Amino acid sequence: MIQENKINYFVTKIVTHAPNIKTIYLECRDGTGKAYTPVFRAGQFINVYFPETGTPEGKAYSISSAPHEDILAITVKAVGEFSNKLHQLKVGDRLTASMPYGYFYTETETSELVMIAGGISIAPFRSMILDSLQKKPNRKLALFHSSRTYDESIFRDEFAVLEKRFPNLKVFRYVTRDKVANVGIIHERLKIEDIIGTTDKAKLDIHTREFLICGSINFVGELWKGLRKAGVPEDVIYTESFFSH
Amino acid sequence: MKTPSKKKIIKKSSVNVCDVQDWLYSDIVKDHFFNPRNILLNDADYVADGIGIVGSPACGDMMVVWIKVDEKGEKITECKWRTFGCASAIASTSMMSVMATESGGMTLSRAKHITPESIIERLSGLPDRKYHCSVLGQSALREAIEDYEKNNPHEK
Repeated sequence: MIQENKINYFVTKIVTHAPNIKTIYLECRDGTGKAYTPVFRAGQFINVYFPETGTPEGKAYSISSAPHEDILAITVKAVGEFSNKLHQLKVGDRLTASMPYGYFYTETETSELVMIAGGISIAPFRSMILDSLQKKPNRKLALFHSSRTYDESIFRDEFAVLEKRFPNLKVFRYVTRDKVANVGIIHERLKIEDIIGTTDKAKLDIHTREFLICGSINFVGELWKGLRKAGVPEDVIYTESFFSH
Repeated sequence: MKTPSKKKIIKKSSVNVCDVQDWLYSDIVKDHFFNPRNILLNDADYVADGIGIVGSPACGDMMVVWIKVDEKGEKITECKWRTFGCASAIASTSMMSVMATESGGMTLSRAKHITPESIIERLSGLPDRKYHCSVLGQSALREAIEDYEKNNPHEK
């Protein structure tokens, strides 16, 4: 049970991606004070606790680092009281959170992965992409990321390097609010046809391709319905939704 | 000691954090809430192959799911549950238990990633703010399958 697994984390590093988005690196310490990274799988989250905010159940944040990096990091967008508290953390600060948890991952290593992220939910996909490429460098991976602004289209440089190194990785970035044209950005809303169009319809009923959707409840619900309508079977769609906090 | 005014008491007791205004339950949600399927109120004599418990007592939304698995270790034959959650949690877990056991039972690999979206679709919708209610049952089912697999490593 999640609530029995509260542990202390310590902030080791903070990276700012945009004025409202930071990656917070965390470590645990054993009884002797030795630092360690808890075991996790790509796609999992930690449940963060700030009881003073009146939310005893805590809030979940996806892990954006990959297991082989031997680092546990969460990437957080400041949108409310809770996430702003995370943004105020400094190196050395203590944070109470759960052990890594969750089942947002595929158990096969051979399928093609089509990842669809709304806004900050690109976080677990960074973990998954790095993890997949490390385990199976030839695995076909496509990421569709929709964000409101160009600033929020994060991990651009890192993914650009990866795309060059791994031709089997394709990243499609959609920005819905900024109208200033930016290289490599599609200034439109993400459409199901775009996702389906890059895949082979004839193969949709064969278990070679899996779809993972992460974002707000509305984003995930709409895309899930869209994929189902387009003929994608239920059992190859994985979802993870969150409330903004 | 000063007795609180009657007005205050009424106001306090009428606040239910799980209930929110202005939404309508679908007929299917109502049906599953008033006639929950596969609910297990007394588990004293129930021998399950896997048990999953999730939720937080602090939030009052504990969920327990018990499963029985066929001899081959492939399909769910029974999916029982109990919750201290709200109407939406009851309805969505009831529906989930039906989905897991209908048509000869769902395979474990399929049941592992049953999505809240597919449960909500079968319920003809749930408001966004009740989304997490459908996650509860799904997470507990997943835990129950993990528990079964841990206890039966040869079946995995």
